[in-house]
Amino acid sequence: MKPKTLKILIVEDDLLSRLSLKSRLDYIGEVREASSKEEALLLIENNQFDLAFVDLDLESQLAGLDIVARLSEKKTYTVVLSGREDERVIENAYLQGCRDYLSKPFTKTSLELIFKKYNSVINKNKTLQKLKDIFLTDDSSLVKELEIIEQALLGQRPILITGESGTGKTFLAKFIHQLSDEVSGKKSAFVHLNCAEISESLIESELFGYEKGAFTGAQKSKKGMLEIADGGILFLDEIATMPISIQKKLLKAIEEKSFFPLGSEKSVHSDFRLVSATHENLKSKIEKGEFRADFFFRIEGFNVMLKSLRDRKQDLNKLIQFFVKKGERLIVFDSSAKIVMSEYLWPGNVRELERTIEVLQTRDRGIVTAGDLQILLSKGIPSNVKFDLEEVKRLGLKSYIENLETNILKLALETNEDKVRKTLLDLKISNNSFYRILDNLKARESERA
Amino acid sequence: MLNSQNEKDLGTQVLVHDINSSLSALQGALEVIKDEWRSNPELVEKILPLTLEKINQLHLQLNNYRNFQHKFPLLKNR
Repeated sequence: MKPKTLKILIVEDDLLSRLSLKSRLDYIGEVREASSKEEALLLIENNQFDLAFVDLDLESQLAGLDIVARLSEKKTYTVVLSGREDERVIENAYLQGCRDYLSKPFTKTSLELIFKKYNSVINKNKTLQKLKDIFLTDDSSLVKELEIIEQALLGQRPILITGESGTGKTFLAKFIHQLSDEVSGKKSAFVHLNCAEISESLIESELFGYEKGAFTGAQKSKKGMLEIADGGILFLDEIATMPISIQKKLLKAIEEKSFFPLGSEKSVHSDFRLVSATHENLKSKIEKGEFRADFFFRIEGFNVMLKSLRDRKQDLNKLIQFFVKKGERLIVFDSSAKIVMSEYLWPGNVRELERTIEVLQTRDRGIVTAGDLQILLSKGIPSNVKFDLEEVKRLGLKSYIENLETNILKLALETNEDKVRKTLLDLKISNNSFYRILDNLKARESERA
Repeated sequence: MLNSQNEKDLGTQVLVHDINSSLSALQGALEVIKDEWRSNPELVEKILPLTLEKINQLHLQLNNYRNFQHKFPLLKNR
């Protein structure tokens, strides 16, 4: 049995109602009772209650309103119980500071709902603290964005996370799922699809599933991600790369909460919460005709923008300490290294910082200098690619450009974790150009080897 | 006419409130009796006579309501 930590007050002049309510609340917390206004005010004066249930009509009409006002002053979550149906009375109760109004007669279920709401309100601050802790941030504008998540947890509206690569979009989506499960008290599905990772032809069958024989190679039926996500979260990462044709079909599935798997005449119902993420500007994609406006309005709801690391430099030290402690070996940074780290732009954001520290922890030296960092950080950073006329003269323009192309492709592949489709989209090059440059890159690397 | 309408409104409000309160007390009591009669017979023992009393009270309130409505047959309920 859980320890009784909640302090609850019941103010009700009817003995039967008081006894019944008390027997319900005895399981939840420590219950005190009052049958009159005077008795209630005395108890409130000498105790701090978490939750109070107050009947509005006690020895005189609406005497409970004064009790509500006093409880509200003492920050007690107050629920009014009343058989009155007059809206002015209800409004007045809310104006006095009551948080909920239970109309008599009420059921056990409505009482349970009150507790759910109370829990979510009470956990609100804890949730924000958790979000601040996992993002290791004191940055006020990032905290404001995280507050959006805290509000989003109570509903089912879609969440759109934007931010540069490496800012923690996937990490946040997973954490939203964890927090949602904590709020609802049940375990739900988390289905993750990176739209940039799979080809256009595969996305449809992955999302909607298919029946046996729906297409060549469909030897048995397969459930789609939409169906698997029923009751949970469908996380669509890199949603900007979602093909337009699929956007239309997905929009219908989201609106109707049902869809037809490929080759099936039977619709499948699925009620999931959509969380999407992108590092691209969807509005400019809509202007260019590369993204459907109606789909955009369906996937946005609670919009969260994760800041780049260079825009939240005050968090850098905290993050460094965290990643150093997370690794197996403690390292320290000398003053020159600290300057380099704070001046660096971190194009790969928190992910780049984490990987840099991981690499540094594998080195022989425990003291990191600016030199150690320059080798690591300058690796393939576009801002460091400078035009060098002497080099052009030495290599010839064609070779120089080939080198440049291979460097850029290497960097893009590294940044995109070898995802070909995303790299093609980022660099805006054709398949042919991609493989031509890739061949050059491989040739260069084998020459070096 | 206006005074009668006000009188009816006020009277109805009070009666509705009392009936709702009694119904609520009875509903809560019956739920407790249903859930606790095995595990907590002492509580049920305490609640039962109060429940019977409340039923009688509700009976009276319902009669009052009916009589009150008959007193103002031409006036609407608001």
